This record gives sequence, C-alpha cells and structure tokens, in this order.
Amino acid sequence: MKYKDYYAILGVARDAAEADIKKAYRKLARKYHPDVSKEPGAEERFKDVGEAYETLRDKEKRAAYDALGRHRPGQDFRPPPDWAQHFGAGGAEDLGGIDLSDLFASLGGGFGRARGFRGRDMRIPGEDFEVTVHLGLSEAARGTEVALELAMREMTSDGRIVRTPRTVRARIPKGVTDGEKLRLPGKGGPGANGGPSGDLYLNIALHPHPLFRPSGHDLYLEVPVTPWEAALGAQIEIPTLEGRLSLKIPAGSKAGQKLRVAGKGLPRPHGGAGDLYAVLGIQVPGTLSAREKELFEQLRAASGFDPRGHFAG
Amino acid sequence: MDPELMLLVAQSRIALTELVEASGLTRAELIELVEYGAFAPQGAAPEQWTFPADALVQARAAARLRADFELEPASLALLLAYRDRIVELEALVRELECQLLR
Repeated sequence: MKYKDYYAILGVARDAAEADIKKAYRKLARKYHPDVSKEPGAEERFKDVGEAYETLRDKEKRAAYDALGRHRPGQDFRPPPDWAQHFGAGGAEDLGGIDLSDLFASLGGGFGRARGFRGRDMRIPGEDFEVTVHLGLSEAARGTEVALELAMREMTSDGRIVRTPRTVRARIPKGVTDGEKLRLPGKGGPGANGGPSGDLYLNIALHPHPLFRPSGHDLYLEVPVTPWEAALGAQIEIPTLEGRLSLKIPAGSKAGQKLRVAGKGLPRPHGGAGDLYAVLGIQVPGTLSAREKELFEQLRAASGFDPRGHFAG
Repeated sequence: MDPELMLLVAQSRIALTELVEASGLTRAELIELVEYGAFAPQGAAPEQWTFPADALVQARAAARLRADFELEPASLALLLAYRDRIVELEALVRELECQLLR
C-alpha cells in the first residue's frame, strides 16, 4: 500500500487542532473544488484534499492514520501487525493491493460523497462514476460506442475493499453535443449487501474541428470570400458534415455576416438538426499582380464609397 | 435511444423521487431548495413535481457543494443561482467565440 501524507496534503502540522484542519481544508476546497475551480488538475488535487480531510476530521480515523506511522509520500508500507484488529479493519491483514483511501473507507463512518461502503450489514449503494468522453464531431453526429476502464470498489467476502478494473461499454446516441451529460443508471460501481449499483455519468467533450465550431447543435464555419465575391455576390461551394453544398453569397455582403443553412448542423437526439452558419471573412490577395493592382487603382478612382463617412462631423 | 440511458437535457423530465435517488440530496433538502427558488419544478405538489433532466446535473453539484463546504440550504440556493448564471454566460461566450473571425 502506498503512503499518503494527509497532513502535508492539507498543509497542517501533525498536531494541528481540528479547527485548523477544517480551515485548511476550506481554503484548499475553495481553490480546487471541481465545481468552483478552473485550475488544471484541480479535480485530482481536490480528491486528495477531500480524502485527507475525511480521515483527519474524524477522531477515530485520525488516530488510526497516525498509528500507521510516518513514511515518505508514495512509499510502500504495511500497517503495524495489530493495526487492523485495533482499529476495526478486520480481514484487512493483507493490504498489499489496496488504496489508503479504501482502507479508511472500510473503517466505517462514511466516505464523503463517494457513497462508499459504510459497513458490513446494511444495503450499500455502489459508487457513482463521472467520466469525460472526448468525441470527434462526426462521432457525435452519428453516435458511437465507447469502452471505459473504471477501477471499481468491490467488497470481498471477508469485508475488505479492493479496486478491480472493469470495462464498461456505453452507447453514445447520435446528436450529443459539447458539454452535455448522459446518465447511465446502474452502470457505476456494484452495491454491497444487496444495495443497488451506482450510476455512470458521461460528460461529453468534443474535440476541436479544423473547420467547424459547434455551439449547441449549431455549427459555425468561417468562409473566406474575395472582395469582388462580397461586392458582386457569388455562388460558392462550402463543406458540411455530410458533404459539400452550394451557397449563394448575396451582393453587398460584409465581413462577419452570417448566412444560415438550415438543418446542416449537428443532428438532435430526438429528431431534426441544428443549423450551419457560414461566417463570411473577406480576404484580399497578399501580393497583387500588376493587373490586379491596376484594377484596384481604377476602382479606387471610380468609387465614391466611403465606409468611414459616419466619422465625419 | 437506449432506454437505459438518459440524456440530461431540459427536454426530458424526471420526478422528485428520481432526483433524490440520483443526486445525493434528501427529499427535504430538495423541497427547501425549491422553496428558495433554486429549482423550478412543474406540478402542484411534490408528488406531482417534475424537473427538467438537466436539473440532476445542478442537484449533484449542489450535493457536492453542500457536503464539501458544509452549506445550509439558503446559502446553497444562492450559490446555485450564481452557478446557473456562470453556466449561461459561459455558453454565451462559447457561442460568440464561434462567430468571431480568426
């Protein structure tokens, strides 16, 4: 079993008072709580902070933790010989493959929001899992199946808690989009003593696409056009998720103007589809040929157009 | 769609019992949060209440925040209102970013 220094995680001394432990936890929770923090790695960090606090806030668990002795973080260690009996972790003599947090979860007194095992005789619901699934736009549009590797808590016949790797397959329906969540009831960790299995929650995150930017079920596509296409109008071809289509650029189009192509966005799960918006960008040649330059100069001389007329007066 | 799978979007509805079971909040806590305006179910009484399915996302966040910060319902309702506003604003920022020319 790998040692974790719960005091160092919370940044408190080993003899810290309960109030100081609580204060340190609250400061770190404010910083790393996944519902509050945007810091990278905040969720992992908060798991450690929460685990440390769950143990150190409880007098009995703290005493049991202190009795493990001091070790380097990450160091493999074994509890003292009579530790398991003394602290009510019966059946926990062989602790080689288990995680420190699971060991303390098996001591009773709850394990925070993880809905972990709390005893041996009551019906205990399984653990919920929340996993982010990264999909390409095309996968999201047509639906796909994902295989997720989850380390599930299971209780052995002698009351020990172990983590067992399990593969869970989940069918992602067509039409999910960025930021949406799916609930798969009963696909989380197994319950104990007849308790129900936990649930699996999937957070959908779409990979950035080189052309299309999704907003809900709508897609935005930047469409570069030439100054003369914008001025005179044109019929051009644009890509969609299902192939190319012809788009009419109206005469007198402006940069940033949006042209809506109905129903060519991402499909919606219950039918229909979002829209595709072509956002026009007007591009000029980086280098002008002599002929192009001559024509632009003629245009400058002939045109009375003043886009900054509203600045005057 | 797979009947075992629920897309947590506003178009689907869930009952109070299901929200309690899946969120980790108690029935009493959810009723109090409804009284404070944090959730707006349809239906006259708790037995008839239905919530948009995405309320489960908010309720699970509420359960985590309540447990991890030891919040009481009135503070929790205020926090959820701000969280809702942030989610709306983030969606608006994403939409506007999509419309910008790069």
